[in-house]
Amino acid sequence: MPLDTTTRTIEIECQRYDPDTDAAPRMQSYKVPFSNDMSVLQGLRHIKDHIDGSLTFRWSCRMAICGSCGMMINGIPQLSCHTFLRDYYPNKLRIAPLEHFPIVRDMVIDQNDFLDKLESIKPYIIPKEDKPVSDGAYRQTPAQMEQYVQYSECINCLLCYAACPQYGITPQFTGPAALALLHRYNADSRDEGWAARRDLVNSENGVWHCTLVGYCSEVCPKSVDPAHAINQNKVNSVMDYFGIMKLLMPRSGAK
Amino acid sequence: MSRYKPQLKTYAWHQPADWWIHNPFLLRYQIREWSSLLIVLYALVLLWGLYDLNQGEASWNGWLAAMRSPFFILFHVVTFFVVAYHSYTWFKVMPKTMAPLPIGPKAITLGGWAAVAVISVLVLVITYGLVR
Repeated sequence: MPLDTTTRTIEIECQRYDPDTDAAPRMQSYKVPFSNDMSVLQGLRHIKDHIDGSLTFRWSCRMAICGSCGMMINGIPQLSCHTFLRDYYPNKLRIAPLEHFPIVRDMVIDQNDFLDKLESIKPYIIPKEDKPVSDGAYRQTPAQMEQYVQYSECINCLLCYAACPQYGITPQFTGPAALALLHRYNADSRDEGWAARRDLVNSENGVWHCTLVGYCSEVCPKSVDPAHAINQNKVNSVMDYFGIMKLLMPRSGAK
Repeated sequence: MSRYKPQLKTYAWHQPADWWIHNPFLLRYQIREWSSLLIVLYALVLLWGLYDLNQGEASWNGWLAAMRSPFFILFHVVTFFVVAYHSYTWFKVMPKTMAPLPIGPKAITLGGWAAVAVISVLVLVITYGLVR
């Protein structure tokens, strides 16, 4: 098929918020010429470069790796670099910042709440005891790696937080990505950190705020499946309550 | 230490009451959650029957007559489909509630339905044996 280079024009409606002048967000519409290969992010960059330089949004890699450009596109949390204008034409597009987060300006949200939560799950391998470097590398079988590798694919794009109504209602909820990363470390054969993470898992703001809506896994651009990670840890949390975890993980110091 | 900056002026998020209306996925989730209310009502109707059975033959026949009214026939038909949908949604998410099994998520969901089929047949056979 020959490359389609025809240019069409699509209407992109952007939610704007300037903390210095606006009391509440407002909508602003732009007419954007686009070709078949242009992503929504490229459409926004066209607005910023040629129409309205004040439009503010985060982006970096343009190829669904960095996780910077997540936004609500027609009400669905998506990476704007991973979504194409041609799929919306001839209808107009509504762009808004990721839901459930405070808005700093236009499409830019305040991620600090997530960063605090990411820190709270201790996102690093906690070995039972530190090995000297001279003892060599920690060894792992492909089957052991299979246990966690999917959850390590998270790019912290926060689409799952924008998808999670429980997080929208209760911002204290640790949330999908942070709990998926918690499971990434707990499921790692080199990690013995259950004792360090169990209080968070078991708490109301840990896995028990999740009601298995499952939309987090639906919107995840990396197929991390946070809903699966969280609900496996509900099982772990119950086993911990009945004292079964310490039988399963005698070395981890689980109580 | 919190990274939150109190001096940063932001527009706060407030969850609207209609958060589930505009997204078909979230609407289906809400139907799944609400369907449990109809299941509660169905259980109450059964308990009402059990209570009437305990009160003697006349009241038991009264309950049976009430169940034959168009309202309760409609109630049971609606409840049947709602419960079927409720089961469908939960069997669909069942693989997410357990550690990954080598048989794969589809087989877990089918296993749930197989259990429903086997138990339903067993209940029918036992009931038929009892009332025959």
